Amino acid sequence: MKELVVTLAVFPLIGAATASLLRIPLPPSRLAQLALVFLLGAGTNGSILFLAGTLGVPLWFFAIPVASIIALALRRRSFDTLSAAPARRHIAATVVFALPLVVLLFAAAVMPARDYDGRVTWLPKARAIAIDGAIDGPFFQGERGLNLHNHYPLLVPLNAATVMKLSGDTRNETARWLYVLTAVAAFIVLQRMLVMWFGALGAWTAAAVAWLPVLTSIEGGALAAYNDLTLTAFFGVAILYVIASGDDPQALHAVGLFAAFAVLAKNEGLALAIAIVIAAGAARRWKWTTLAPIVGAIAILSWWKTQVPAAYDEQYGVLIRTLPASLHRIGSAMRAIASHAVDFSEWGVFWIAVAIAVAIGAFRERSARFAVLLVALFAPLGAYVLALTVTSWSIDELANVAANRLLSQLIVPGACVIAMAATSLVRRDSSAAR
Amino acid sequence: MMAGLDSFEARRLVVFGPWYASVQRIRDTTPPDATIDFVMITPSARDIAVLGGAELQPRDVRFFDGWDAWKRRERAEFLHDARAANAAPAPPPGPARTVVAVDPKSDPPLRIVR
Repeated sequence: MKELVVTLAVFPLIGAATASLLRIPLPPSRLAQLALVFLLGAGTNGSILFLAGTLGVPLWFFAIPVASIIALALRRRSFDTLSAAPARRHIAATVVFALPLVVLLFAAAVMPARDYDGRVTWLPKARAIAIDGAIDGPFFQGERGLNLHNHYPLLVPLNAATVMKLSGDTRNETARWLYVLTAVAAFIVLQRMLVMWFGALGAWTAAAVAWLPVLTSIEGGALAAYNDLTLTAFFGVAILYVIASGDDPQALHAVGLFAAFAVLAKNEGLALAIAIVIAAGAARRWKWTTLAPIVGAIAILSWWKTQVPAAYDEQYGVLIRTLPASLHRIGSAMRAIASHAVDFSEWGVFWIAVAIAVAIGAFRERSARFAVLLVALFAPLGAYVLALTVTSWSIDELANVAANRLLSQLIVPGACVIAMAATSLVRRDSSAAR
Repeated sequence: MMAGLDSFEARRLVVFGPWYASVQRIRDTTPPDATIDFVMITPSARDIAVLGGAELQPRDVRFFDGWDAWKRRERAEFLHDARAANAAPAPPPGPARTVVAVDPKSDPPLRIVR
């Protein structure tokens, strides 16, 4: 249980210090605040360690938590909170929402890590970082062990290494809490924001989304050591905060930061960060300070890649140049993603509901919020279709292993658009009845 | 069922089966700084080889496609695609202290041969 204590202490501590220093407003409920600072702490810890490792500074995993304690002790003002009207409690919806998440936590406590990519790709990176105290050691130079996808971004393995090192245990399951709590935290923040904006309909939307079967997938689910649900969390919070900045401009402080975390967590994070920037622009909530952390993250990643050789890494630069010759495959790529989106065993009717909600929104919504959600859904989807179009694999083969994970990165804007459309329908119907 | 077993180690044995038991044996008989050659006897040995290699970290596990490649000290290449994803060519590794034959059809699936 030491690893659970470490995970629950270290990341919220760092996140609280970050929120305090950068004046990032927290959601208006204690649990959602804890969830938000957990995610903020995970992003901050991984990013700072990534920068330190790239600069060749030895990784002292205790340094950031200790600095955070000092920063919090010296803090002179209380945390900022998103401005929101007091929300009603929706007890039944909250219980339905909480049940599957509690089951996930129980499963995390007893089930061994079973996912293939987590065990052969991501966790060995974390273990090597914990053992070497560096991100350019023998493992990353190809001199020791097998490092698949050597250029994959390391924010999450750095966090996993932090838990391993501070727990004194490098087994796979030591990092397990980090992954499952990241997913749970993302859902708690989503639930609180949906309730804040859409009341009971938001609460029930969140409750339905928490039951998505894809969360229990062995490959890419909440118990896996893949990074897709981490991207769900970072991308989701960034989009939620773009929307929240309509009522509270201070919320923009978090947007660029979470976009930068996405860049440092996974290759697709760059596409998601671009979507966040476009979404903020579409809502006219753009500031240059939003871009600074993203540019910083791209610089860190690019610099680090010059220090370690590529190994089994996708060469997107080469692949994208084949796009003109591959255009005839776009239809197949779209069909491949769509066929997974409508797979009831993985998604229930979630993506069908999202499609209907987008259609309803197109007729009824003229809000900046809807524009943000449209960009948040369609810009990444476009990027994923292009990636499948130019892949040198068979499209269906790649879609079989990747489509559900890519789609899971878009759960938050999907849930928001469903709640928004449902609210719009109810509002219109009640106006008509009056 | 999982909760009834008292450790992750015991649960892994139930979930993963015989290959994991042989990895446990190798882990118990080699020091953390060991060098280990994994010789994959058949193409179907790849999955348990990479999973086993990861479980044995920080031991330096090197992978070879069959005994001929092992004699030539030619590391296995897990993926080759001129357009998309390649491994940087790694230098031939020196001799290892331990050599393991990997074959999912044999018993045990990972067997120390030297």
